[in-house]
Amino acid sequence: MRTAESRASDPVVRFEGVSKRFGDFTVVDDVSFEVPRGSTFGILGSNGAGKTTSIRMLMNIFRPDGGRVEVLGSQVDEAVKPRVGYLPEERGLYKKMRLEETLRYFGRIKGRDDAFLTPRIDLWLEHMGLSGWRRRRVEELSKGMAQKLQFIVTVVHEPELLVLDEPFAGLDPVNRDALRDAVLELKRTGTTIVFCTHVMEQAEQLCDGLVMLHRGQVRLAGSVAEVRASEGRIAAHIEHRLRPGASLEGLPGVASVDDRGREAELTLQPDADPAALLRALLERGDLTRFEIRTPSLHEIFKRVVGATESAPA
Amino acid sequence: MSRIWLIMKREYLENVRTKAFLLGLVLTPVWMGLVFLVPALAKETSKSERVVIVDETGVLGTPLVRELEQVRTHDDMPRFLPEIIATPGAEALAELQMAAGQGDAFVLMLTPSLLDNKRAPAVGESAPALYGTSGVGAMDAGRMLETAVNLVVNAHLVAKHQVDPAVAAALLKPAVRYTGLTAKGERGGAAQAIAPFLTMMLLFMGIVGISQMLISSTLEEKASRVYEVLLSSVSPFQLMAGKVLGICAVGFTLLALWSGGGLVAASMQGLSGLVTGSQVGLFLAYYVLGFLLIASLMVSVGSACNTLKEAQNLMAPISLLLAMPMMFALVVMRDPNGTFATALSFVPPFTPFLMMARISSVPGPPAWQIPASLLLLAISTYLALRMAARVFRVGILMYGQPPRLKEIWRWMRTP
Repeated sequence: MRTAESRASDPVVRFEGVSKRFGDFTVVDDVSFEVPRGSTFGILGSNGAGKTTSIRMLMNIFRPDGGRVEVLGSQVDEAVKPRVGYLPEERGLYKKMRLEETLRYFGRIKGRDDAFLTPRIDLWLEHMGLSGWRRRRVEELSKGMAQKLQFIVTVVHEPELLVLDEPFAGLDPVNRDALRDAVLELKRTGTTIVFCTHVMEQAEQLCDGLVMLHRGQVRLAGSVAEVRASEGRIAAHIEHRLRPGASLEGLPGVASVDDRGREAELTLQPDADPAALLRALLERGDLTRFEIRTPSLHEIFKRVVGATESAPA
Repeated sequence: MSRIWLIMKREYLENVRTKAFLLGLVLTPVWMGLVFLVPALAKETSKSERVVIVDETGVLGTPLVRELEQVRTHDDMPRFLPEIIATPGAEALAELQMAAGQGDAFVLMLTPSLLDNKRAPAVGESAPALYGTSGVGAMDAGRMLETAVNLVVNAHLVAKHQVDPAVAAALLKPAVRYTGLTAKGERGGAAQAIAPFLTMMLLFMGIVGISQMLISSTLEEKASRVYEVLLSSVSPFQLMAGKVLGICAVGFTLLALWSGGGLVAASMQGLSGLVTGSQVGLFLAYYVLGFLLIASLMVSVGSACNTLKEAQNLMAPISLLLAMPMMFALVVMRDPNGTFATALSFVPPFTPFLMMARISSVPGPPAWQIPASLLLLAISTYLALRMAARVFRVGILMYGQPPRLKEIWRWMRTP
């Protein structure tokens, strides 16, 4: 249900110059961004970049020391909480409670009644392959199943805004896909989604917009395409079988190499000649793939982190 | 409000459904019963005690032996095994006294001064004496021996002075017996005498015993990391209020079942009027306020710590404080309206226990002290809950090093 006072054009989440310090340490430093209604928004960064702190301020678990956080037109208070679903970084449920009881309890404290919850609990348990476990206790679940249950807890009351902290961490590929499909399904029904991750490939697949945080500051912001294009560089993605003794060092026009074994991503200098690079590569071995494209978020992220890492803080 | 209710209900059901709850429900009255029954049973000892009689009078020994042989234990064994011995030398006497001190025998010295109207012995003359061990267990036997000796000596004096047997019999009888009454003027006897103690024990278990559940419950939820999920639905204050009220209801259930059962049992014994309606109302008021006061301590400790061990360290001084009313119990019950009892019962953490002990004593405290103590308790409870909410708010999301007291104090002052 959309309330009258919030219009479709209003951002669902707005950070305005938000800062947070713990003691002398500034964890989040003057961060601003907006999340439009219905979009999927990624907060990216390495460990300790300030992602979880930002999310906790979004949820009003931490109060910012400076700036303003607005969610659905106000601070996250008791009136807004039912409209938000939150999957914290630290997952946690009552171990002794049964699955169905758990979902009913968390749905109720979100203000939903049994008439609303019962069909949705059935549907979600079915959807996540947990139907057979509904009378079991949470402590009996495997880690992957517990994560899926935690996700259902987050969404069963049908929030307008979904806030997910590292939603795919610790899941095997099958469960990761199941969760991703569920997120995409919610996105299609108009749910606004904010999530944070340090896995750039996930962000690349899901995000409409993103901010990349490093040491609490926004380093890059915009849509995935904008961020990739803003680099002004191109990269060569290759799959190779080098001759013994040959390496990817000293290739012409290459600024940096991300060697992943059989694959590599080569970030090129602005004046690089791809044809010369291709010839140089073929002298060193066989190529099964050679693709010129904008650099991946992963490469950009590494450059952003690396640039500050080498400079004195 | 409905969220506090939901949290309270969950907390209540989770704790009431445990085996520990059922066990506590059944075992506590059993334990309490044992506390009162065992000493009563132990009194009925079936041991026969040796009594060594040194009879320097030549006339008292034989009737005393006859008198002592009539005393039987409850399984009809002789209670005493008296023997008369010749006057021992100094060394033998020292040995006898040692045996008495070790509880092997009672040693009784009957001396001629007894025959002379129990006059005080002159210097150098031997004095009458009864020796035994100083253990508590020997006191009953000692008192029985005193009575028997008195009886025999008195009988001798009565015969010697040719006192009228009717007068003699009258002199040996007690003139009046003390009877304790209930508040309604009925014979309450022992039940009325132990009522203050029972009331206090009940409150103590309901408040101190039960509120400790909050520590483990908070620690468990912290360990299972469920707080962040809950905080996305409710405020920290709602969460704490729900938990505290849920456990308060657990305690209330226990107290209601125990005291209900106790009153039914008492009325089946023909005892009524032990408890008045207003006493039940006051009990409830002191219970709820006292529980919330102590619970605010417990929930602060639970939320500030991560492990039971850390919590136990923090609890040590608090436990001492909480045990204090029980330590003062005897003093308060001996003089329920004395200065000491009155002053202590206005110290907020002691108020519920000591005030209820005073209220169930006869006569009760002056009427103004009840509303005054309730008001003081209510104000302290309100302040304690506010502080606890501040500690809880920060504590439940803190992991790693347990905070120092100084840091907790800083949380308390942050609005």
